[in-house]
Parts: sequence; structure tokens; C-alpha cells
Amino acid sequence: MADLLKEVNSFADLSGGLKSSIIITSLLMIVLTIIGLRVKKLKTSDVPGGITLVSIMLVETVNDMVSGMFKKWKSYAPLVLTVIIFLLFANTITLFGLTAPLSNIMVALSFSIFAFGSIQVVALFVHKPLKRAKSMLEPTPVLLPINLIGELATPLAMGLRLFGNLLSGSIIGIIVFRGGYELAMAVYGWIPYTVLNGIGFGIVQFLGLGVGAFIHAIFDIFFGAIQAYVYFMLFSIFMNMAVED
Amino acid sequence: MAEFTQFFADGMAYIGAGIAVLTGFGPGIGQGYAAGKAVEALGRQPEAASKIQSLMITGQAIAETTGLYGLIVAILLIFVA
Repeated sequence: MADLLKEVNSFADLSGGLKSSIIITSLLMIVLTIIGLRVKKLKTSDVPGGITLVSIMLVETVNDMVSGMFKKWKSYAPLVLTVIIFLLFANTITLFGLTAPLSNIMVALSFSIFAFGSIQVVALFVHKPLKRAKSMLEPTPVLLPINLIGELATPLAMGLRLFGNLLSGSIIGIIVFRGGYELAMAVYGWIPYTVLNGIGFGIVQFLGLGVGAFIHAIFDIFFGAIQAYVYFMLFSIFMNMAVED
Repeated sequence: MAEFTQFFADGMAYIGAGIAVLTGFGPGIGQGYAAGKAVEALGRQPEAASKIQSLMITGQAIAETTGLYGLIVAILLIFVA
């Protein structure tokens, strides 16, 4: 019992981004396992419906996009699909009241490490290590440090791009909500009558929340989806460059 | 003089954050240029719309990187330094 309490406490002590990233990961594991079992049970004559249909369409879209880039696309599509599903949910999870995981620099940099590691491992498997090492000396051996920095810098830029976008979105959201509340409080103090100041407070607070809903629509849904798409595009482009040169 | 040091450092950090966000000029120009060229290409070849759109979004996101670096530096200056 004490051990369980300790584990619960260690979860509660985490920062908001890490917490919501753990929540999203476990939720996605459960839901995707259920969907996978349902897809496996389908016969070829069945017509899928509901969430099964949506997930099949998502898989087909990603397959189409990946197959245009790689020759042996079947080994890359699951990796890329995993990333895009996690990013789609992680960037829009603020709609449900959780902190955006990517607004924590630890999660963002772990995405950098993930991109760096998978690109390097795939390149080492496809080209043998000797050829891979030779490609670092490509135009002239003098450019070796610049090539090495380039290998490090692109994944770092990918992670920092996610971090910057999600953090700016959450900061603007905080400013708008907090500003609406402060403005409402100012109106409350400004009107000297008893009931009218409450009504004024309510109206201004309601307007602030409406602007906040608009901010959510732009920064969470639109920018979140765009950033997931961009991470996916850059990930496949850099992997393509590392694999097929 | 000693009691103004922390105040002075905070003020300088805020000024630095303001200067760092001026990097927004570059990505603004670059993204606008990319969007303009995409519209030109769309006018010339309307059937390639989806390809042009995805290329434009990718290119704009790459152009955005320098601006985001400025933003991150500004946030670090305000909240961390």
C-alpha cells in the first residue's frame, strides 16, 4: 500500500506536460489495441463503420503519403503513423483541459532524440556503417564538422519547432483568459451599484471566454494539426535523404 | 546603487526579450514570399493544388524556425534568466 501511494505521489509530482503525455500514451495504447482487434476481426466482405472506418482511412492516407517517398515504404509507414497519431492527440489535448505535452521542453527534446535516433539507425541499417561514415566526408573531408553539426541540428530544430509553437499557443491562451478575468474584475470595481457590477462582470467574463474559445480553435486545432503534419513531413523527408542518397 | 542591480538586470532582460522577438520580421517576409509564389504556381497549374499546398506548408514551417528561435530566447529571458 505504501509503495502504491509512493507511486501515485511520484506521478502527481510530475509537471503538467509530462503527466498529460503519460495519460495520452496509455489512452492511445488501450484504444488502438481495441481498434486493432476490431480490424483483425473484420472479414473482407464486411463494411467497416464508425471509428474503425476512420482509423482505416487514416492508415490509408499515411500509406499513400509514405509510399510516394520511400521505395520500401512498408517498413517506414508504422513508425511515421505512430508519430503522427501521438502528435495529433498531443497537440489538441488542451481542448480537454490538460496541458499540451509539447509545451514542456523535455517532451519536445525527446522528440528530437527520437527523430535523431531513428534516422541514424535506419541509415546505418540501409547503408552499411562504412558507407554511412563515408557519406559524412561527402564533398570534401574538410566539411566533416559541418556535416556532423547538420546531422545534429535538424532533429534539434524539429523538436524546438514543436516546443515553440505549442508554448506560444499556451502562453497566448493564458494571457487571454487571465486578461479577460482581470478586465472583468476592473469592471466589477468600476461600477458602483450592487447588482449592476455583477452583471458587468458576467458580461465581460463571458466575452473573454468567447475570445478564448476562438484562440483554442486557432492555436490548438489549426496550429496543432499543422505542426503534426510538418513534423511528419520533415521526419519522412530527412529519413528519405538519409536512406536513399 | 546596489539595490538597483536586480531591477536593472530584470529590465535589461525584458529589453533583450523585446529585441529577440524582432526576429519575427524574417519569417514574416519569407512566409509571405512563399505564399505569393504558391499562389503564382497555383494560377499557372491549378490541377497541382494539393501538392503545391503541402510543399508551401512545409517550406513555411521551415522558414518559421528562425522566428521560433527568437521566441524561445525571449521566453527564456523573461521566465528563466
